Amino acid sequence: MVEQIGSVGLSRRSLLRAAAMIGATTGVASLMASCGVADGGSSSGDGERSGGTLTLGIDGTSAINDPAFYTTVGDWMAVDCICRGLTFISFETTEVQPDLAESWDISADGTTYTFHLRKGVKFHDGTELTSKDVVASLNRQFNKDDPTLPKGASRPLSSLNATIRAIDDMTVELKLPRPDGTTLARLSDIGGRIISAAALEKYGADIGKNLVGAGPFKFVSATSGQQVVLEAFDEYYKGRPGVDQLVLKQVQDPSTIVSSLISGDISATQFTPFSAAPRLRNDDNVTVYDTPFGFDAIMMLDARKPALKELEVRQAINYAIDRQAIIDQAFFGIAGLPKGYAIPPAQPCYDESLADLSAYDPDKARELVRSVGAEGRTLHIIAASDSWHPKAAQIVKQNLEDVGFKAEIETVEPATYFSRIFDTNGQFHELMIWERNSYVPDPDNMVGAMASPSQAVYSNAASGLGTLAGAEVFDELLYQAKNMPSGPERTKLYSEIQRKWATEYMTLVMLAVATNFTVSGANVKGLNVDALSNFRCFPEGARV
Amino acid sequence: MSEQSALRVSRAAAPASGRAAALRRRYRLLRRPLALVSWAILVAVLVIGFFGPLVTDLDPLRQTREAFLPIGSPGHPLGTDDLGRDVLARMIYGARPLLVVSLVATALAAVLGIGIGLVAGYFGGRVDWWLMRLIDLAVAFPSILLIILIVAGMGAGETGLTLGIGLALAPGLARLARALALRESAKDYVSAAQIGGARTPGIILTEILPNVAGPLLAQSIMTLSTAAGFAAGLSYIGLGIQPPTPDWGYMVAAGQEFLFNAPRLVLLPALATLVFVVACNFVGDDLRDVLDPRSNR
Amino acid sequence: MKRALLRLLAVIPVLLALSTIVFLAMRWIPGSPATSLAAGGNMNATAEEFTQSEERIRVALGLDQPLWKQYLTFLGDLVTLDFGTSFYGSNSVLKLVGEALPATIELTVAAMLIAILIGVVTGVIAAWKKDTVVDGAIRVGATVSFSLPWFALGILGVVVFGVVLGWLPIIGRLPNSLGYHPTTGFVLLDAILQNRPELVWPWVKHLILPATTLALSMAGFITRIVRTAVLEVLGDDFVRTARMKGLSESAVLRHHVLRNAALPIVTVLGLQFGALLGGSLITEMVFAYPGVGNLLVSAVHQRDYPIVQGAALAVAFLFVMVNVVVDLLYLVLDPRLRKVTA
Repeated sequence: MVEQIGSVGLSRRSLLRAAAMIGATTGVASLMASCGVADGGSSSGDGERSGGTLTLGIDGTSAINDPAFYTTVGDWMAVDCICRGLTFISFETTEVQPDLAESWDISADGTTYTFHLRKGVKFHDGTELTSKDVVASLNRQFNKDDPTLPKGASRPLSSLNATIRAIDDMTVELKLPRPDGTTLARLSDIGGRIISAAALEKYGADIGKNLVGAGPFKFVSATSGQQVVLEAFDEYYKGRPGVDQLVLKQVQDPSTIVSSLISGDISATQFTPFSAAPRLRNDDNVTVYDTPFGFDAIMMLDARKPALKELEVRQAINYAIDRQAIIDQAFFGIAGLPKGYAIPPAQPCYDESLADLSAYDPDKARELVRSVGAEGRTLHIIAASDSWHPKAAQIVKQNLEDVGFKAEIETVEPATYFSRIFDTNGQFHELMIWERNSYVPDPDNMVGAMASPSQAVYSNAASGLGTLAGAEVFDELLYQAKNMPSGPERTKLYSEIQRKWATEYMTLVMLAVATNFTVSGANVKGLNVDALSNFRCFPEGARV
Repeated sequence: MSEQSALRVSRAAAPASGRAAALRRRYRLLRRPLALVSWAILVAVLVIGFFGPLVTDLDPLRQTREAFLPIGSPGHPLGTDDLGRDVLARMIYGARPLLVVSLVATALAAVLGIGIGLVAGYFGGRVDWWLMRLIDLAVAFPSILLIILIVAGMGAGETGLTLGIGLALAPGLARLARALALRESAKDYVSAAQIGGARTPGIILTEILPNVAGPLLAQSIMTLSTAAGFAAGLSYIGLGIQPPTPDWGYMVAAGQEFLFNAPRLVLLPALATLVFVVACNFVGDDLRDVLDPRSNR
Repeated sequence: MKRALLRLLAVIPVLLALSTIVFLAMRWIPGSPATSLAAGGNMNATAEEFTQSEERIRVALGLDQPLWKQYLTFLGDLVTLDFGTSFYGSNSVLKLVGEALPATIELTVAAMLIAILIGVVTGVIAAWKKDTVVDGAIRVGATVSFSLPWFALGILGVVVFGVVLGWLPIIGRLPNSLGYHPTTGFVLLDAILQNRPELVWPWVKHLILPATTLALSMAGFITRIVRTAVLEVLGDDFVRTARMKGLSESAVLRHHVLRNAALPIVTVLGLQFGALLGGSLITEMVFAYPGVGNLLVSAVHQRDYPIVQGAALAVAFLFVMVNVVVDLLYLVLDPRLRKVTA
């Protein structure tokens, strides 16, 4: 399949906007020393009102919408609509834009960020944005003992290790222990969303059931296992959104998703099964979007397991994978070869010179297997039971058996997948098929998250990279890379890191780069599908 | 109480007059061909399921790049599936998991259920009361929850599925066995054996069981059809056999995505399951007619 | 009376044992809710942060306590009818189950009604036309009907009526546009209470596919029972008398046969309600129908112990109570049995 970069399905307006941005485009990190400028253009309705209800299909809802507490993608899509952050990335570009912060200054040493808040921004409860709201909201991320945190809160921004304080009513100061070039981008993530302090005071830890923000949609109701209902906020500071009502509806069964899209029961979703692609492309009732490839389809290799202790075995596995078969048969063409290793084409620092790191060479694989006498060794594959995962697992099993291994598959419910990965003493598995989405479009969010030996999920629980000799060096290299200004130098450093990671350690087999398959009804216009395909939800410009 | 009422319904069906009995015989003759066909299907599925893989050289696992070949393609009489595997081979191999799970689960349900039922019915009184509360508990336990818990604990696969279905189906057989034992233990031959000094397990196994074996066997065959339906259904929702092992239930689930461009991927395994389950039911009916002439349900 | 009371009291140990089994089973199956919660939305955490966060969550959820202590707390809460809150946010279990249970009951009752309708009509016809081709066809049809694999049936229904013909909605319970805010949770009742007749038709439309799928698996069984019961009554003297009096066939059927055949039918229906309830839990999953079945299954996958415990107890309670009521009704309705068992 041809790799398609760029959004065929973008609305005309967003194309114009994207064009206007060219020239102003600089790297995320280059904003460090500059000030943000207020951006009048936005993905809001621009006064074009069409009303109606936009229904987005989601994976599930626990009826809890809290930026400090992840429950499901769907619940967080609601947070994305209800609250805004200090900064914003639209995903149509990878650029950080000012949002609730009108502008910011960064101290010379890069550790102190001073945000100047936008004036006159109204929350849904009628209060106006002040530094009190920002401090109250971000303290829920930075302070583990914040009294408004519910049990089970995961605080996604806690790893910034920052402190926040108000300088005056409209100015806040964020202090970091050491410079971090991804700070502005990470503040645009869902964890950085600002809640009304009055609401936090009123609801405390129950804020997730009554979220009050300053976003384009306000919370109406949520029913666990069913849906979250939001309605347009008339006083949204960028203008009222295009639709009156936004419903995030839980639909889990793949064939039901497809038939609901066709029948119009749901207006759009990024959870469309890949297998429906051939059929939906020929259906006039729907619009299929070819969003840029922004997620990694990966297989993590647990180097601690006896079966994978030799680097040769892990390399053999990497050479054995027929990625084109996965792209064709598991993704139905909505994926591409991972030519930039772990950095997908939609992100900065994508470098196709890394294509050889994901080469398909079964002969070489067989040779490597023989060289360490690993013929007939049994490998256990664990994969989630939804979407492309079980299909890819079956192809991988075949590939591994073709080069001399034996392989067994276990598929598990997606909700159970994490607890199984962390259950290293439990049932045995060496290979884990999973995916990495970029909630923030920055290479640090991919390579940084997966190659850092101190990282919990990928490098410790899943791959054991953190236990391998010499891997500590990655932490320093990655820190250096994330603080570099965007440009060829940064790309070069990321490519060096990735090459070292792949050739010397090989704890991650890239299966493909893909995109969450986003489809809408033919009547839906102006939807920000680039964000949606990255599990982010900015539907304020959409009309039905 | 409910067991008695169930029994009453079946007893009520005893022929009311000679005329009715004659008509019934005629009906049975009419139904006999259907039963014979069902027997044939049952045997055929068993033979294909257990011996098919031994005689065919088709490979149900070999993936090729030739996905979605239609029926009648050279080398693939039933075409290929989404991963380019031979559908005929997968149909042949796919019968075995269903057969094994449903047969073993039924056996488990029969041993457990009939055992408990006979003991409860024979002893009566306090033993009966407690055993029936145990059955109440098993019946009240939502079977889907029971099976999901077992599968979550043991990992998805045939073992958990079999255990879960067996446990879920035992109460039905227990109730019937209890009602029958209750009826039998009041009869003279049982008292005679008791007076004769026979030991309790001996009485239950050698005196009562042979007398109630007919209806219990017929009910067990009916249970087999329920078990097969269950097994296919649970495989369908992903709790059973793990891919890529071919299995009819999982094949329906996996093929569901291609209902529009390759409906046979769903229809073939779904129809096969359906025919097998229906055949089990007719065979059970037929057995009941033969073995338990009193009932006419 | 004593017997009835005993029957009611016997419910308590059954439910207690069930709760205990569910309590232990949830903690026995691998996978901790604290792990999933700590990983959620925080995939960038360092190993150290992650461990701390996981431990904090474990303490917050009370999972750091020894098992017996957790069990005592659980029992204590149960006695005070406190079913706790979900691990995923603090939604009360009572509320979640309270929202889902009416949907499941609606589905079960609707399926029951459809099954009765089909079953009684075909059963009576089969008995009336005994030993004819019609009778044979109905009996074969009945066997086929209750051996249909429900999942295949459900999918076919979705495709044919929902997608190809587009007659019926395929997911959920009510369209959002209606803005339904439950009072009792039962749509029909709420339509009356809230005076919103416009709720009824969309509700019926959403119910048709799942309820029919479920009903077909039960209808064949009812056909058989009805046929047998009617045949028995037809042989009775009073029917012959009525016929001799010159009453029309349909009048005989309505006034004499059905009334007398009703008792065994009602009993069996009561017993079958439980099977149907179990079936609706599974059917819900195919139709994304927001009932207890979906709640239960997703809660097991998420390891959300309080919800699994609460929902399982609710389903079991409903089931046990239906059985008790049927048993008691039987005692009341059938004087013969009362004499025998008293």
